[in-house]
Amino acid sequence: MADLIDVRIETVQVEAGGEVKGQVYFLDEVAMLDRCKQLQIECRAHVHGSGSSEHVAAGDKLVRDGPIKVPLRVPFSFRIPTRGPISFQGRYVKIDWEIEVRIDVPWAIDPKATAAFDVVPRRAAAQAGGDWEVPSGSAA
Amino acid sequence: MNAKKTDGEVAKVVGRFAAKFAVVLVGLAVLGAAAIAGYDSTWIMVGAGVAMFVAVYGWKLIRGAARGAILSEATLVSEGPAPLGGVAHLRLGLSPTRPVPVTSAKLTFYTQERAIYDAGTSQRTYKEVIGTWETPLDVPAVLDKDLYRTVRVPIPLDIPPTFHGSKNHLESKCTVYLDIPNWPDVELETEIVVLPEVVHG
Repeated sequence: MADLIDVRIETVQVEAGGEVKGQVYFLDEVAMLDRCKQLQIECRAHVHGSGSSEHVAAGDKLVRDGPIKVPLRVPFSFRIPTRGPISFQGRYVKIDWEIEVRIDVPWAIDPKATAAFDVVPRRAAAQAGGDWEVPSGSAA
Repeated sequence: MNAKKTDGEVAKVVGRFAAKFAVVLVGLAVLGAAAIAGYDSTWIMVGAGVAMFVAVYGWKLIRGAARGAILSEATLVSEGPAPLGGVAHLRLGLSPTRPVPVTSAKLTFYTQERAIYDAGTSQRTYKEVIGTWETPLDVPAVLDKDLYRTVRVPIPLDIPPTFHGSKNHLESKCTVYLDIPNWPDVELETEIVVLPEVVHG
């Protein structure tokens, strides 16, 4: 069912605090889409690994009520939170960002599709750097 | 860059376990002696049990009390978040109650991932240290007056920024160790919030 929904993201790498844009295409005529009650598009970080999994949403879900008349193209735009989290693949903690499209169809298994993208740290203004440094002579 | 434990640190850990084991043995010996001598050993058993419990599980309490005896104030506070490749500033404050000899002092920065798995009523925590960096701290050989310093800690570029979910965490912490002869070490820890920003140059 997922191949009926095509999620296209403009850029596969987005900076924290940046914007992820794209479009969702509904490719084929399916009777099920006529019975669609609601279309939901969500941008979220899926945090998983060895611990209990959780989600961090980027803003509110984009919701569109009513049946889907194909061909249909739904553009979306989500702002990634300034503090991330950024994409990460560790041993016990993994963070994957994705756009999830879900179609709520009464009395049927909801068709859904996801598209992954990466969130990377943003570039900041230069800050004074240096090695380990302990200023001397500042003892009270 | 992962720092391995030095021989001295290994010896200290082994010594700590040996001390706990010795206290347990002494407790058992006291109980045995009381039983052989025919004393009513109820209170002796209670006392020995409490002493053993404190020795085995109350190490942090003992260390905290020992620290309080020589330092009226011991603080390590982060002044704010820092970007990747930037510098974090920490405030170190030490107020000795009497002259305290310090053999060595070091500052350790580490980043770890921590995941908590809940299954029914049981909970399991997984931890992995991603990187550890350490450097000696310039502290007087004898701490005889208040010491307030700002410590600058460079943040590596190849660590993940701080993230605190409800069950999954990516966190960076700084620990200051003061090695005091014939006394439990002073250990101060604080978290540094690392922002998802990269500073170049």
